[in-house]
This record gives sequence, structure tokens and C-alpha cells, in this order.
Amino acid sequence: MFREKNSLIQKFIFVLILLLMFAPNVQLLAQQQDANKPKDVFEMSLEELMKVEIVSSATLTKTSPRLVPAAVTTITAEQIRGSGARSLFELLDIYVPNLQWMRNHWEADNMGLRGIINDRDDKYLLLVNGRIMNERTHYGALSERDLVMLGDIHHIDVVRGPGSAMYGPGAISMVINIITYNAETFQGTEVTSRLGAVEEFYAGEVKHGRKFDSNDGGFFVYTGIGKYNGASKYDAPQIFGLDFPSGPSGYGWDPGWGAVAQPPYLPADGTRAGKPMTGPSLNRDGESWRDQPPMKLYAEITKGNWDLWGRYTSGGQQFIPDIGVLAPFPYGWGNVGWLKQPPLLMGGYGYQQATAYVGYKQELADNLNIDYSFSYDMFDFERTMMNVRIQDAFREDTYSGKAILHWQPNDRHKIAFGGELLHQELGMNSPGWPHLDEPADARFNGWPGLTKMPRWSTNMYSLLGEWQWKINDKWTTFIGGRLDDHTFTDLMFSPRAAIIHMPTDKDTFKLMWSRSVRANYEEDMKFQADKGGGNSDPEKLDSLELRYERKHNKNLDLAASMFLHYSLERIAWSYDTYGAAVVGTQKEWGVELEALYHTDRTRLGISHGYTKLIDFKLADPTLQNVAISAKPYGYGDDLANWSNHITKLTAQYKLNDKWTFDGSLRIYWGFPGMKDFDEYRKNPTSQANKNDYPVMEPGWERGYRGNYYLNLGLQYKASKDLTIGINGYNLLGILNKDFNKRNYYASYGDYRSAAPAVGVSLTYKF
Amino acid sequence: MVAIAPKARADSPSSQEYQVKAAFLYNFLQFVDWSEEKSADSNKPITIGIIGKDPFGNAFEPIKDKKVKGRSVIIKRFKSFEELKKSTGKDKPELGREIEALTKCHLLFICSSEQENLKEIINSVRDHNVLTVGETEGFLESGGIINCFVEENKIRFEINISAAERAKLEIRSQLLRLAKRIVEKDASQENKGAESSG
Repeated sequence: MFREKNSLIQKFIFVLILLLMFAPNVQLLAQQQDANKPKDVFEMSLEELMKVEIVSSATLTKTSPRLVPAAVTTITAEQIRGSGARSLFELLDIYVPNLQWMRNHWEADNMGLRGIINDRDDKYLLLVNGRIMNERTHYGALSERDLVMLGDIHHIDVVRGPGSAMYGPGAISMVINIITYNAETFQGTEVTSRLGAVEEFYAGEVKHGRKFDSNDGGFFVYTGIGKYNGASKYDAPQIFGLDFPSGPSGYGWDPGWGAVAQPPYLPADGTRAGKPMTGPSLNRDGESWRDQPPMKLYAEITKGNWDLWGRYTSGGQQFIPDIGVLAPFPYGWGNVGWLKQPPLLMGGYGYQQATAYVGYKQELADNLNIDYSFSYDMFDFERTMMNVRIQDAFREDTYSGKAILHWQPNDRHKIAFGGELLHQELGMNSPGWPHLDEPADARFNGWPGLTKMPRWSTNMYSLLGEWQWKINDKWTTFIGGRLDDHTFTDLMFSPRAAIIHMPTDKDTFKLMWSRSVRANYEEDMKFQADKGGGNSDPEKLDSLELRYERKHNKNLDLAASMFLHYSLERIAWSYDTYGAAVVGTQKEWGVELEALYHTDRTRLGISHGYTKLIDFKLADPTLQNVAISAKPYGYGDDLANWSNHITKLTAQYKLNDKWTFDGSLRIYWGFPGMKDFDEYRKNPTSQANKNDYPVMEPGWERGYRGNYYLNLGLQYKASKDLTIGINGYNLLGILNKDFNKRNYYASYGDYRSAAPAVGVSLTYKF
Repeated sequence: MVAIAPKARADSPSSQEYQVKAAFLYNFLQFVDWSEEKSADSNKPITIGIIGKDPFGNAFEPIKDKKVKGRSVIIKRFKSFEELKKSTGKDKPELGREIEALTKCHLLFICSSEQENLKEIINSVRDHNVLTVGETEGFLESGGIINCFVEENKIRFEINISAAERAKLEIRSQLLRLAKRIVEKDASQENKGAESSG
């Protein structure tokens, strides 16, 4: 087996060497093609130029936005400022159609798209300037998302839908690409100060950009630091669907592992179902991890075709454990002796990430170039439970090298081809969270011979390519794919094919088919290999999407997507196995409708997403507690952690040169699949009930109803240098806090409401 | 034209923006008519001047081999107005020569880095049959003729007809038709009038 593996690796290296050997000779090839150069922008009429969009896109080969074979949402810096968003979670929740944000009792918050959401955010890739920032050992896309400082971001492209043919393993549901400012897009110095009340936060940001006198580049630096105290338990109430007993009476049964009621740390204070829990140890909502200030540093130098940048982020948030931890026996473990240390209820995660990137574009001819990049990344992660148990504390280092050749032989054909090498050092000591002398990971606790996290390394070798063929002015096709070979997987293949039809100037039809893949968490793959389980099965999504886009007139853009995930071999964590593995095959379909009306002064956007489970088949019928859908257990036919209908409205209106109004409304219409799963859990004969006691009162409904978030903002441009803003968040909660509820992933119909809050900002440009 | 990341910055949205803006400037040359004095000698090239920190990089490379109205096009780059003043000394003959060079341009692109000196630059060339093009807020109100801006990720432009008339430039209807906004009253003139009368 290892011989076969090595042989495969050798083939990859051989092909890469061929590629590099080929590079110096492509000049000759290009010269042969000179007579057939593609049309350039100088040959375009003004009308054509006015249609050219200046955004990045989801293809390997260069193309116009109209031809991009994907649904892409671009969020500009102006929209970020106007929204007053306090995190990437909030920002993406406001602007990205059919994206959903959930809380989590055991991990960081989760985001999902088109029904694909998980207890860890391993289903999408988060990129900064094209470099993947995902942590790979345990969680996925973790950094950046919680940070309140967003002033370094020029724009964000969210490629909705699978994309591992383009971006590599992990791009199952979407790709979030953050593009920072640089010397070309920002010159001068700008200082921003923000603070929030009710949900308290403070943030200071400074950015400075300057071009070199030689006019062939420049530098950009950014510093952001904050403090996030969050909202109190009264402004952001935690609601359970259980009547907590008002004391130890009646719960004195000791299972033999120290179950003794421990007021006041326990919530056994008589809190009734649906009433805010006010236990003394309940943390503030959104509070920073260990009260450490969130931090973001960024520096970039561009010179000619070189691009160098470095980035450091540090953040993390607290969360509260689920009802199983809070409730006394027999519902939970709340009266177990080892949980009584104050502050008992607090859990959370923290991270720091340092990245260095070097990119170089080698221009061999007008129609031929090679993009090279090399990067290094250090990711430090910690997660604790109940403030006394360190679940994870480790560091991973990633080295990545990439070369992609772009060749445009003529107007009709564009070709991209390249390779990537990834090396990871895993299981290293956590440098920033000095609580342990050695790395820790719950995955390895308690298993024979694996009482602590080992140190190991993995490699991934990849080949990728795309051919874009413009058949005529009305038809264009894309065919591409990517091969990835990871130390702990068999060869992973992600093909993609798309055809774009433009029957008129206004209408575009896109039909896209793809397979996207993802390797399991590094910790699970290592665990499996060490147990003699061989290579790990990757996650695989086969999908089809039909998209229609219409530029109805100069003010109105319309779009509709219909997607079919006809096979998602789904990796998820299961109580049954206490690990992450392929647990079943998920099938779903959905529709997204979008409309954008824009004039000089107005921008009005509306989107609606509908997602419906078709089927979920368990990989193994003995899996009885897979919290993706209760359908396999005979309860309903919806996804357990998804609102089937999601509507989003955004508005911006420039009242005059001084005043700008912003508003947004997000509606998750309800969680029928979550209710189904809890009904399944409540059934005393269900297998799930053996592991989890029913923790909802009969008739508990509130947790499954809709969520409604209304934000309003006003910006005042006091002078050409000074802008003052005020934003109101989750304002419907003033009427009823349940409007602002945010559900937990795979929990028990409980929720925590976001606080109605206010924020102000002041920006001065020197 | 767009590209995937990871990438060198040469493919960043900003450089795409200036590639497209360069093509816009090239198109403007075709839809604007200069006075007899500047268009008489068909052997002389058409000059595009760029003053300030040039964001175009090599975006103008492709026009080396192209002609507009039968004439070749050349690019002339100028330091920032502040630096011109520093290096030559105010009211000294060298500054006069530099400003004269600005007035010889057919099209003068005033970079965003020149925002502080906008009015001074425009005033220096306003009566010399120069098409001033900018990319800053309030450019038309400062007396500039065409202002480019980005809206919904696309390049748009607006035109100050009064300023064009004052500069003795004729802007063809094809260009006017595509402008996002047309200013017919010259705010800078009004302000000037108000200042002098007040």
C-alpha cells in the first residue's frame, strides 16, 4: 500500500517538474500565437467598457463576470461600513442569500449555505487574498469570523456553491474570499474608532497606504485592536425548554460518580421553561475568550509583479454548554461533582494565526503568464469546556507552494494548469495558551495508547486545470478539475463542467455540474490511521445548478438559481462513534431568488432562499444519533439544523451628500426539522434517548419558530475627512426578545436571543 | 477581465480598474474634438498627461501601436503639483515651463493623489484646450471636465459641459449620451463669481 502511495507521489512530482521545465519554453509557444492575440480592452467600445465589472471571480481562467460559472455575492467596503457589522458572521448573514448563522454549545458559531451546515465549519473555505486560512486539525474556517475590526477589507467575494475544483478540498458549500486593501486601493491614513453599547465592544483601527515614487508598487499597513464584552444575560437571555428543578430535592440519586447538587452554581433555581436563565455563572453573550482583546495586524508590499504580505489575527469567543451540562441529573450532569468549580458554566475557544505570503506573476508573453505563490501559516487553537477541562490546545503549521500557468492562445480559448504542494506539521505545543506542557486534543483522550495528542505531519499533492472555450458570442463552456492526494486519503477528484448561454444582451443562463470533496479533520484521519483503519473516506458532494441572471434595465438586476445536491456523502460527528466520519448520504434541492434595484441614491436588495431535504440515508443503520435529519428515524422530512425559508432585505438610501441611511432585515422562517429531531429525542423508545434525556417540556414550540433581525444605520459625512455613523442592531428585540433568537446547532430547542444594541463609529482620514 | 486568487497583485481588482480606465481615456480621445490649434498638425501625437501618483502601471502599453484620428498617442507623466512647486520654486520660470507642458496635453488625467491641488491644476490648464479627467469626488464642481468613478463595480463617468465649452472642447453626443450625470452649470464659476462679488 505504501509502495503504491509513493509511486503516485512520484508521478505527481514528475508532472510538476515537467511543468517547471516547460515554463521557460512557453515563450516560444507564445510567439507562435502572437498573430492570434485576444481582443483587449482597448478594442472595446465605451458601451462594452461600461459593462466590465471589476471583481474577482470563481474561475481559474480569466473571464468576464457575466460568464462566471457560479453564483457570487460581492460585499463592498461601503456596504461593510454602512451595515455597521460587528463580525464577519453578522456581515455575511446580512448580505449573502441563503446563508444561515447558528450558535453552538460546544464549539465556535457555525455558518452554512444551502442546507449544508455542521457542528464545525469544515464545509467551506475562508480565504484572505486567495490564501486558504482554514484550520485543519479540528475545526475548519475559524479565524477572522468573530473579529469586530473589519476596516482592512476592500471587498469580500462569496462564491455560493461547491468549488473544490477551483479552490481545493474543503469547498463543499461555499468559498469566502476576503480581499484586503492594498497600496493601489488605499492611499493616506485613516483612523476609525467604534464602540457598542448594550452589546459592549470597543475597537480602534488605523490603516495607512502609500505608493512608491517609482510607481511600480507600494505598501499598506493595518492595525486593529478591540475589546468585546458582549451583552448581559438580561439583554441577551438564554432560554431553555425545560423547567429546571428548584433544588436538589428529588434529584438526589447518585449515579456513583459524585452527583451532588451544588447551588448556587447550578441553574437549579426554579427557572421555568421559556424564562431567561439568570444563573450566576452565565456568561455575557459574545464575550471575548479569556477577555483577551481581539487583534488583527496586516502589512503588504507590492512591487512590480511581486506581492508580499503578512497577517496576524487573534480572537475567540465564549459559549455556554448545553442543557446536558447545566441540568441536574437525570436530565444532565449539572449536579456532578467535577462540574462545581466556578465559574462553572463558561466554555469557549481561542485562536491566533500568523501567515506570510509571497506571490509572483511571471509574464512570459501578452497571452501567457505563470502565477507562483508560497505561504506559511501558523495556527494556534484552544478550546475548553466548563472552564476546567481543556479539550484542545495545539498548534499546526502549514507550508504551501503553488504554480499556475495561464495561457490564452486566442480569443476563443483560455487554459489554466498548475500544481500545488501542501505540507503540514501537526500536534505541536500551543505557544499562546500556556496551560499545558504538551498539546491536547479531546479526540485522542481515553483511547488505548493515545492518551495525548501525538505529533505528526501530512502532505497533499495537487494538480488542477481548466479550459474555457468561447464557442461563439452566445455560448461559452468551462471544463476543469483538480486531483488531490493527501497522506491519509485515496486520490480525490473534483471535476467541474459548466455551460453559459447568453441569448440576449440582458439574459444569461448558466448550467453547472461539479463534484466537490473534503478530507476529514486531520485529527480524525490520524486517529483512524493509528488504529490501523487505513485511509480516510473523503466527503463528496455531487451537485447541479441552473442559474438565470437578467440585467432587466440599468437599475434592476434579477437572478434565480435552482440547485440540486443529488449526493452528499456527508462527514459529521456522531454520538454513536464519538468521532467524525461519513455518516450518510444527504440529498436536497433548493431555489434562490435575488433582485437588486440601484440608482444614484438608492440600493435595494432582496433575496429568498428555499432549501428542502429530499432524503438522508444513514451509512450504517446502527447510527442512531446523527443530528442532521430525523427523517431516517421516521420523524419528518427536513434538515434538523436549517430554516427551509430564509429571506433577506437590504437597503441603502443617500438622503443627500451628508446623510446616508442603511437598513437590513433577515428572516429565518422557522425550524421544522429541528422540532422533528427533538420529537425523535423525546421518544423514550428511540435510540437517541439512551444517550440524551428528553430535555424539553411537552408542547415546547418557541425554539422552532422564526427569527427576525432588523438593523438600521445612519452615516453623517461631517466633512470630506470625517464620517460619523450610528447603527442599531436587532431592533425588533425591543418589542419581543424572541424575535432575535438565534438557535443552537443540534441542541434541544433552546436558544439565546441577540441583544437589541447600538453602535457608533467615527472615521477620520488624514 | 477578472482572475482567480491566489494571484499576484497585478491581477487585483484595482489594476483591472485602471486597465479599464485607461481604455476609457483612449475612447474619450475619439469622442472629443480639440480646437484647430491642437489638432492642426496631424503628424504630432496626441498627448495624454498623467499628473500625480500614477495608478495605471503598464495599462497603457497596448496603445503604443494604436492611432486615434490617424495620430499616435503618447503618455507623459508629471510629478505631483506639490513636488513640481517644490522642485522648481514658486513663481520661478521652471514651474512655468512645467505648467506649460501640462497645457500642451490633449487630455490631462489628474490622479486622486492630487485632490488637495485639484483647483490649482485645473485653473492652470482651464483656458488651454485641455480635456481634464479626474477620479475624485467634487471634480466637476472644481472645474474639471470628465470625472470617472466606480459604481456597482463598473466604471461610470460624468461630464461638466460648461467646463468643456470654456476649454473650447467639443464633446460629441455619443459620449454625452453615456454619461451618468451631466453638469451644465459650472459650479466653480459660480463660486468664483460669488467670491469676487462678495
